[in-house]
Amino acid sequence: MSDLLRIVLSVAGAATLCAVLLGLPLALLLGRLSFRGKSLLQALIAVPLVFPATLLGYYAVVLSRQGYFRPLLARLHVVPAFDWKLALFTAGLGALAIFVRVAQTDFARVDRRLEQAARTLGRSDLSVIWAVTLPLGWRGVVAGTMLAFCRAGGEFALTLLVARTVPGGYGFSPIPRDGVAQLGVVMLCSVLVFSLVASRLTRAVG
Amino acid sequence: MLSVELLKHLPGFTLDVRWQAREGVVALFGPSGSGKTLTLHCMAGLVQPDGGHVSVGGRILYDSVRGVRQPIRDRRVGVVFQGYALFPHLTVAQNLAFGLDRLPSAQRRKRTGELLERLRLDEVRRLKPRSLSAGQQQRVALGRALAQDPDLLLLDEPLSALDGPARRALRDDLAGMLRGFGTTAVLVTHDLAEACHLADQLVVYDRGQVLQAGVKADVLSRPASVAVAQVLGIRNILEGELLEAGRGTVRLAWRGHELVAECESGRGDLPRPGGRIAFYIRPEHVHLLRKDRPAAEAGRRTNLIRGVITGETDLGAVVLLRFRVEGDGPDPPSGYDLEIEVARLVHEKLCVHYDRQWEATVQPGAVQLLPNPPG
Repeated sequence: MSDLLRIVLSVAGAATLCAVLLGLPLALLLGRLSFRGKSLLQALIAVPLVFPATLLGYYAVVLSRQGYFRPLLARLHVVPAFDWKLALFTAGLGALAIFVRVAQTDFARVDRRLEQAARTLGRSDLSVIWAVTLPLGWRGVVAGTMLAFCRAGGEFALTLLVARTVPGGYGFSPIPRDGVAQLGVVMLCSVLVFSLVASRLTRAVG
Repeated sequence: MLSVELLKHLPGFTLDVRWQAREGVVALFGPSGSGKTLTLHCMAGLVQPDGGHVSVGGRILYDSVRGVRQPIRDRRVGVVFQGYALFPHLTVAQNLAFGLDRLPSAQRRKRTGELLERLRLDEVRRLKPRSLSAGQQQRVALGRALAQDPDLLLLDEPLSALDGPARRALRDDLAGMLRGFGTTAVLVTHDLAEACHLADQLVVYDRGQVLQAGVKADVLSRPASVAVAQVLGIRNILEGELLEAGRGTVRLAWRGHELVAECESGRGDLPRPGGRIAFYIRPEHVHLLRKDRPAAEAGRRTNLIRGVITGETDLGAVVLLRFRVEGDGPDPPSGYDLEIEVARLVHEKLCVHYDRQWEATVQPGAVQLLPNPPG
């Protein structure tokens, strides 16, 4: 396995993991409850769907280097830089947007009466999610995870290849040429397989 | 003893109800959107009312004044949802055991086994709900709600997903099971036949309010008002003038005819003589005098009404005739005064098709008074 492929896969994997951990409660919240500011939250999460997350990351670094955020970030011991943490951040944002969208749709499809039934049978809210909502919405979670991985990988691979030409971009060592071809093949295959499986999963419901 | 008093404001709808019932099966009956299901959800604790009181056999589940709000899990209330809401990802046995998760596993298995046997579900215990028949699904829903041996069972439109013969068969089945388990139950329905078959007490709902509550026979034979009669789907709700209240009978004037109605004496809710009073005559209680058998009909002269048949509706087993009375006063806007139900066989024998002029009689006992006039 080439260095390039290893870097892309590990960043995409880590970004997907973060997106799922953070996105699962968000998807449950958005799919099951109605509350004030729901549309706004939904819109904010969806921003990276249409707005390149890389650009968001770039702005974040630039703004925090010269702007008002610096003292706050310093207090949190975060030093903004073009390094792997930023890569993870930007890829994770895109992955989160996709994951939440797909998982939320499936959670929203779960019949509310099933959850009410579980509650009348003495289950707590957490137990209802564990015993009813998640088992019935798992297709959305799996499909969302797969698509999130595709998105994170694609986003990061693109950034990395372009960033090579930017002086000091991302701080990774120069990439050997043969790695690019291998990356392309692996990415194409995984995207194809994952999106096929994901669309099968989300269609099978109902 | 079941005591319910609830206030709940929703956008465009207010539920404001108060009723009591004895142990047994109580049907909340009324048109769709009258607040029956909301009442059920408030009783189960799924919806928080704005005020009121719910108690079952003296145990308080909710009381806004005393600040009692039992959480759902402590209410000891089982719910059968509309469409049953069985967990599609669990087997029959797992569905039944879902509410027993606080029991030790040996006890849970024992209880589930009992239920499977009692509900004739042992053979399908490992199947998922979607491969069950409607009757089996109903039994799983009932068993799941009864597994924890609740004090109160709530059923929301239990038969609404079905129609025709299947519905009747399941109604019989459900009636048998409710009697068998003997748990006090409250059932929501907009089908009067269902309410009558399953329940022994009726609570009549309309637009978020209770119009009448009581023992089934009382509500059915003595609706408290025109509004109740309308909700119960009673036909031929009429209005006349009270002439005289005698002993056990009342004389009315209606469309130039004088009618005698039976009425328990000492009834305090009647208007004074000369006042308006509403009453109804069930279409099946109007008797057309048979011209082909004058001798047999000679004795029937009370409450004689003359009129013309203006139209008819064929309902299969019976035919509904629209009958306009020849008498005083303006003709009703619908063009007829009474609906008369005759058996199909009689309809054919009388040749109603060719002969439109008829005389009809009504037994005094079939003229039912409704104390509150419409409007």
